[in-house]
Amino acid sequence: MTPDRWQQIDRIFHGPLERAPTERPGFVAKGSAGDDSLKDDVENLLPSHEQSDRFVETPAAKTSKPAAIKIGDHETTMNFKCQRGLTHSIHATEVTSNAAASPLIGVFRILEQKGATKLNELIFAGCQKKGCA
Amino acid sequence: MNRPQHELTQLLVDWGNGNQSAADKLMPLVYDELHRLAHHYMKHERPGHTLQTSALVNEAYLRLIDQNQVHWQNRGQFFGVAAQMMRRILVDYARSRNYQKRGGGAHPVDLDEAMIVSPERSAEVVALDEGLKGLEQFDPRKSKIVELRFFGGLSIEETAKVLDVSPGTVMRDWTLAKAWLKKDINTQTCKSR
Repeated sequence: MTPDRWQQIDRIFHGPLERAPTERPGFVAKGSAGDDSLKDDVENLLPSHEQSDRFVETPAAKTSKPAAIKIGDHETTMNFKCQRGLTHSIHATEVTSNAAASPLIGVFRILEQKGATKLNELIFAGCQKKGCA
Repeated sequence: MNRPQHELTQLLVDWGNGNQSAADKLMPLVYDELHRLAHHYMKHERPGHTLQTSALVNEAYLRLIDQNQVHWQNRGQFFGVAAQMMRRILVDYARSRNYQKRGGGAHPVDLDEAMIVSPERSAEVVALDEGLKGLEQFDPRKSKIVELRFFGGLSIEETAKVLDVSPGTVMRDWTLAKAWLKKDINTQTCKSR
């Protein structure tokens, strides 16, 4: 792509977007003034425009740390180590959809995240599991 | 922060006066600060917390620069650099994740790193980075707009201020850039299959 050709595309591209889809081909042809290659370049971008409504609209790092849900999506079993050093396993189905918004993961209550380690091995300072008070 | 605020502020002002070596010195310092802030937030915030790129960039600015000593143009320059550095941080994370996914990684991904770029977005981030390099060759401003918005988290209005153009111009450029990048990424995906 040369800068000159790109400028020509830029000049024509926006006009058709303000028209009904059925009117667009004629509008592009008129704007291209007989330059079939230019007409093709613009027409090839229009379908991509239709698909790009939500594309890159959310900044790259805007989502983060719904730890429980993300892990649940990828692991069938999650292992947690509580403050007593005991390892507990819970199945992904025990992770509720509210987990990301609350400090509760299944029967475990996160009191403090000691440190982020591997995806399937989180260490928490406390839990509410029966018999582990 | 190892360097005093006035030194970094002076680098930003010097760069604004045309000293390119000042920009070269400033960039790694901004990178380090953003990297440190991202890790700090991911380690200390509770699950469900949303990391806002724009908040990180703002905080880095407040920590590194003495606002009384700079013009608004300097602020724009800083945000431009910060978006560029965030792009580098996020693309590095995403590449590392993709590499490990293909079985090449010996080290597990830390949780905080994994959540900065979600698994489902890492391929998109890497492909977008490649697309932006292509777009930059023939339209640097449109490439910069996507960098500021997607990697820097800036709004249309903020982007317009940084680039000193109208919001309408940003919107038009954004629309065409997105269409071109979408097409480019689709082409990249077809070639890799």
